[in-house]
Amino acid sequence: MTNRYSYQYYQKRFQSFSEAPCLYCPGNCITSCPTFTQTRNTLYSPLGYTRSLDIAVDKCLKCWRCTFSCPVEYPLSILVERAAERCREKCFGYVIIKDGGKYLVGELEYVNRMKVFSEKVGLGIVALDYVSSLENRDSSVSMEEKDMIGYSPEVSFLLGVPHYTEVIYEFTGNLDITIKLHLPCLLLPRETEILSSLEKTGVTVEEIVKDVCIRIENTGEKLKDLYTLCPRALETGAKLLDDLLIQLIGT
Amino acid sequence: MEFIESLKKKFGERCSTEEEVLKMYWRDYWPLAIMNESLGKDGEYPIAVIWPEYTEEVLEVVKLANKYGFKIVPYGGGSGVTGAALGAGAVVMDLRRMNKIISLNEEDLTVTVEAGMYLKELEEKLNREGYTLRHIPQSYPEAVIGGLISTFSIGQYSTKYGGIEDIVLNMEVVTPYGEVTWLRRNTVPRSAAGPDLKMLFMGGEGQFGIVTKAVLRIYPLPKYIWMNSYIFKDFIEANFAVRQLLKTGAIPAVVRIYDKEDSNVRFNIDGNVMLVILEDNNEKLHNATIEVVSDILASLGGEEIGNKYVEKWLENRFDIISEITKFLIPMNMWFDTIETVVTWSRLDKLYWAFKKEVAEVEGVLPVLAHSSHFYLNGACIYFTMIYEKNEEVYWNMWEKAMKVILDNGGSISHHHGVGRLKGRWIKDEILGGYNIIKKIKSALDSRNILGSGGWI
Repeated sequence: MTNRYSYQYYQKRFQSFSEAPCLYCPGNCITSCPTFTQTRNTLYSPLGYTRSLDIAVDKCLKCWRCTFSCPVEYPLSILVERAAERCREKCFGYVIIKDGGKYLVGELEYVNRMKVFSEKVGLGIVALDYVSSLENRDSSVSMEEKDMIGYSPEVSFLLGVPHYTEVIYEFTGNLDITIKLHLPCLLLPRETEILSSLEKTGVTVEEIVKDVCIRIENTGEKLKDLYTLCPRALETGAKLLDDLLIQLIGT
Repeated sequence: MEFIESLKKKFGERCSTEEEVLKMYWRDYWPLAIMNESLGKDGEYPIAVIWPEYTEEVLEVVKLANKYGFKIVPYGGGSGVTGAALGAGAVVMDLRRMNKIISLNEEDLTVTVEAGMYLKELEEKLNREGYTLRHIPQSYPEAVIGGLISTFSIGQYSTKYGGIEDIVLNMEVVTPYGEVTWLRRNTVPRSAAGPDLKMLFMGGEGQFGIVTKAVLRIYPLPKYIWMNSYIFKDFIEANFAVRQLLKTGAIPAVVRIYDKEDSNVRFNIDGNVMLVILEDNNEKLHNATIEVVSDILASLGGEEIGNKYVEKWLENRFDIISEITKFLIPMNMWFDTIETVVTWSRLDKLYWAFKKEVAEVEGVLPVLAHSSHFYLNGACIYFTMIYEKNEEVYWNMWEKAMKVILDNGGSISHHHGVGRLKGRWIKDEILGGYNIIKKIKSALDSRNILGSGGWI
């Protein structure tokens, strides 16, 4: 069965719609859309993007939040991708950096971070080298089956594999720490699994922030006291949870 | 146009005349408008959309409108279902950038907010502090506070917590003649210092002024919640069982009774399903209420069937789109809902007359009904209509429905409002009151700058 949290799941879902439900919906998802909450202009919401696809190509962040809050899980991002006429056939190249029973898989740009992390938890490493597609969140992926664990939200979503926080308890002892957590867009549907896994490993989440997308400007301040799971947030000065875990594991 | 230039100068990027934007603001969620749009027949677009951020900016636009004579349509979530916010030829004022919580007063149990704040965003923030508005309509994800006030909204928990009129304690408005005022200097629970002017703006649909801020009553989040479902043999008897609860003083937060056809469609059950939710903050009171409610409902014919139906309703209660995409669009059918309220003595007659006569209109399928808001004196019945996607069928259906309701003791609206849709029947309901409203409107808004011109 296709992983419900994966790009492939929504790709199949998209094929079941002959028309965009957004044409008939008052906007169940509207407050989840980062470009709408910033502008409060309906054009820059899923309702507008469905009707004006050329604008969607330019403005939609493809954060998938609208899909996650839509009663029929309409994958608007796929409609936007098609409008952009981007190639759907591209595959990722990948490099096995380090062998292991299970592999931590992430973008090439994060390979040094992954090395430190995998050293602590005893995982192999696979680096994807088609980074621009990941940033654009728009390519299907063809990789041979491996026992993979995603390092970034994008990789976990596109490959349909667990994010490392969903399985972290398998690799650590009790870390005994309390944190405030930022949950990035593409991991929103996995909140229960992530919190449960963190709890098992002794990480108590006293506050969770879900309404901040780092692709919107000026999010740095909002993430100041939090640990995030989004490596792209490093640019905003945010702290990554894996950095904290690296310090704690084995100490 | 000179005034458009003035608006652009004043608002910069917060004023748009781009066609893609105007296209998004010509209608609200009036089913007839959506149906026409889906058939490629958009209505007339507004001439501009502006996004004020402060009350002072709202005031400036009102002054410009008086100077140049253009119309302003205040706009919130666009989830109204009567065409009260159609933007045709007007400057649409989207208030959703005015979306701050100004203060939360835990001692007085009030929250002061700007009118463009989404109900969902406000409720979630209140919940994090341990409070709730307990005003949860089906439009919960889309509606904003100003829109809820202007359409005289009600929520699913109304039987215990009341409608929007019970929640709003004070408000700031910008009048059409160009003044900003709070309706009362001090926010108080009740006052006899003159008529309660907030009622002019409840259901005013943006025609008497623009609501810019409101002080709302909040409740502590309930600690004890109990839910159950029942089957009744008879829809009317089930409604009377709720009357008995209210007479006894055992007040449910939520009661919903689906008639046989509605129960069949929603729950695949043969019978009239009643959903009940009780909420309290005191365990003794809660347990006592459960006991009283259970005893009364059992004694009046309710057969207990467990809480899974309530859970199903809770899960799907804001989902309008599933059924539209699954059934209506493939079948080339369309939908609307007609809500009325009637006293107990006329409930039986109205219900059966509506079910029979409206379903006889050519092109209309059998009518579904449920009751969802209850009062000591009567109940709201909510009819769901499925019909051929055709404007003539649509108006024939409404014509018949309004006649049946008025002839059988009901109101043409319990909580959806009037708008373009029901303007032609408002005089039949409020009689000479219509002249009062008209005179108030012309006194306040002599240049007729406010509102989409639906029914005054």
